[in-house]
Amino acid sequence: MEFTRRQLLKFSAALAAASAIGLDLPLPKGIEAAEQADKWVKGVCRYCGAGCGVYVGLKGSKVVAVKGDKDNWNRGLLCIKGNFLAPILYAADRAKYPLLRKGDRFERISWKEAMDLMVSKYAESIKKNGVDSVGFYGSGQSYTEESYFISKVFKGGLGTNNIDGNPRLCMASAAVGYVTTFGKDEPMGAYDDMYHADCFFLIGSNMSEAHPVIFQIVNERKTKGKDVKLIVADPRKTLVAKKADLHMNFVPGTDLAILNAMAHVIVKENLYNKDFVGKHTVFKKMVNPGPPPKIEKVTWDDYVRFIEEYTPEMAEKTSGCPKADIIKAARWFAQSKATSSYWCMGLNQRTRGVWANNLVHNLHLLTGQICRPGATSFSLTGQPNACGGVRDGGLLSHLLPYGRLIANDKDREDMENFWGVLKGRINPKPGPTAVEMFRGFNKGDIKCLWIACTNPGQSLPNLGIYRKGMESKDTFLVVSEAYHPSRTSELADLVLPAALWVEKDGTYGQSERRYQYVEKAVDPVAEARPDLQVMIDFAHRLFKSLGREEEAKKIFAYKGTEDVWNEIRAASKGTAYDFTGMTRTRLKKAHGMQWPVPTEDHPGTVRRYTAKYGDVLVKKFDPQADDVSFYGAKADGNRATIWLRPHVGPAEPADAQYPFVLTTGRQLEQWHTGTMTYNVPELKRAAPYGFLEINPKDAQKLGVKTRDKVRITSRRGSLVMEAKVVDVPREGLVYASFHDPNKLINMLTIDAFDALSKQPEFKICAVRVEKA
Amino acid sequence: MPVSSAIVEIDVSAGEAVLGSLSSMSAISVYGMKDNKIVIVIDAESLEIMEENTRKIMSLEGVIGVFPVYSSVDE
Repeated sequence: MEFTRRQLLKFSAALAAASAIGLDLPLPKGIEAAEQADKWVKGVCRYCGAGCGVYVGLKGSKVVAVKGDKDNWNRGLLCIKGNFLAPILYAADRAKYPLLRKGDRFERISWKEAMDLMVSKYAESIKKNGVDSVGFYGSGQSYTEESYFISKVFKGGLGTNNIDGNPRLCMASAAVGYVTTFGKDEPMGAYDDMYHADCFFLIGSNMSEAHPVIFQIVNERKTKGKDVKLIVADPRKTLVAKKADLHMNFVPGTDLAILNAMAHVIVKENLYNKDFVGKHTVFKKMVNPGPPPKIEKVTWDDYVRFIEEYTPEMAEKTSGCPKADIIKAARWFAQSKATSSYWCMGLNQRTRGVWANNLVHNLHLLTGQICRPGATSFSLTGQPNACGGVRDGGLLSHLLPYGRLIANDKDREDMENFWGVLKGRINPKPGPTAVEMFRGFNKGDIKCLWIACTNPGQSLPNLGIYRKGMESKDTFLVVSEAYHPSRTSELADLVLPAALWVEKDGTYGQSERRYQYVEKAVDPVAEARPDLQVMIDFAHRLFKSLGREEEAKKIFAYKGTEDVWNEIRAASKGTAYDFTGMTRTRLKKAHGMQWPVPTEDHPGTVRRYTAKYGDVLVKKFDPQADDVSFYGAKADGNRATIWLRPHVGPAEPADAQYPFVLTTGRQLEQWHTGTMTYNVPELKRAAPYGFLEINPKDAQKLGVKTRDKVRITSRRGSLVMEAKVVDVPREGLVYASFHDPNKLINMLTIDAFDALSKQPEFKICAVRVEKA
Repeated sequence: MPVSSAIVEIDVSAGEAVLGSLSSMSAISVYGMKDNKIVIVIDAESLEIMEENTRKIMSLEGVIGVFPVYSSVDE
């Protein structure tokens, strides 16, 4: 009997409830029984940025089961993917040995041969073309120790900022949004705020599919709390939109007008918090986009004049969202006891992603709905360690660890001293960002590129041109991957087999500043190795080839992950991220700790920027503050910025030739590019391939029914997919998940990016849809 | 179509009667019971039907509360 998607959803839901009360469920037909575990090891789910605590069940030397950690924030709950996590380790397509390309095929080689070749290519290129001829592209799925270490090798060791990572494709706008508004990255709030909020404002987040366990808290609050209001702003009628008290449906790319109009209502109706605005904010506008952008401080009166034009009527005309909805949302937002906002890629993956982030923060600052339980402005994260490793750890090409910037002279000097490298070693010019890096690789400016723990051969926008670059015979591409072939490793010159998840140990930092230790539970398959081990080996060999062997012995003297972690703690000391007190020993025992954790007896900080609710750094950085202090924004007197950001539409709106908007995202059972979830039989059966969601009215006009084949064409590419006619996307919008390696939807998406964050606009491009 | 699991907390003395009532409701599947808690899944055609079922369960004699645990959707 075939086990259907619906049966799997039911079983997964039942499993979550049964786990919550410690009830063992019999397995239905079609689901393979897991062997009984005889030992449980604490860890973190491998998938999204929610960062659910798990216990990994072992029988002998094999992972046989995974269950939720009841003492962690997720209360023992796991989503459908987390429930079926164990099989990702034992997939048939695990990369087991180093592989070298020989024409159209790969040949197994030894690790020594692989490392010799890689090092010789890098060294040769550096000697011939300089350090900016080599690069590294990392991942929000790598452990913090891996991201921190490789960043040190490139920025502090080699002196090149040719290092970026896939969070540039998903979180960069949120990061720059936080920095431009509050002075430092990362949310001030926590998931705990959900238990205190009586108004939820979700915008650009399909939480029910992309962050299912977080959604369960919202769902619970909505069900139990009589007065809890849920506002969802989304051009799709997702499950969470259907559960909402108010679904603000709008034309994709017009939400900046809506957010400004909500501010307009709040100001016009005198719903703003004068005391909070007066004590804790400044006002700014960009007078010249640059680069670098020219910013000017302005006044409250300037702001009021700026939002004058954003009437609800104007926003309705621009966005299609009824003005009554905008007014209602603004009133609920301002008048509720505690309002929390949550957003994800719908805001971030945009050419105006940073501005959209700023405008959500504006609403919180105007109303004082911030820095107290239930009132917060919270960006959800897509990957398990985009925050901990890549944003906090400073892997991105413009960053240094723990809030420091490449472009800041003092920050560079601090890190040069800390790392013990020559003054002036760190290049003062930020390096290329993800899309720029692959453009550079296409052109041959970057001749050697190492990609680790990510799949840009499927996930980059406007994919066709970058796949061609990765295939080039004139450059050298190394891919460290747990699976082969992936749509990236198939293009590599050299494939390095990577240990996966609990085959190695390390630290993950999720959306709410919670760092969690993942213990090694089993040995890697075959000859796979932990990336950190390979990176350390690479660094020593490369520096030896460059005649800098002694220097490498000094600056890369690590025996394992704990040495790196201790250096990371020291690098955070004294910064606004301070987690000096988060020792390995504490992390092993704790169910995650939220930074700042400045001392070894500090319990962690649930809410930042508020002394009243426990942030001890307020007194350190702003001794005069009685409670709230945005101490990351020292230059603005510890005040956050309310930005004057006008509405600007997408880079490529729909037009007569390409009349539909294509947006991409996730599907409940699949994660990212499917390398892991496609290896879980239950998930593969439940969601075997990607499809295109079409609104029923559009489908009727096109003469298309569910399961018909449709051709989708953008200015960059064309693809045939199966149609799913469903009342989820609004008219004029079509939607596809990007997980299917056989349906590369990113061949169609646009690589235009935000001028500030450099994050591409995956969420909006113009397409034509025809019956195939 | 939404799928949602919940824990139904009951007065133990009413256990059999509540289980009987739940089993007779077409949208409800009972997955098991431990102490005074019953694991159910509501499989409904719409959110309205799901909420109606939740209200019905709440009104059963011996039910202390219905606590949602996990929801997803299958269009």
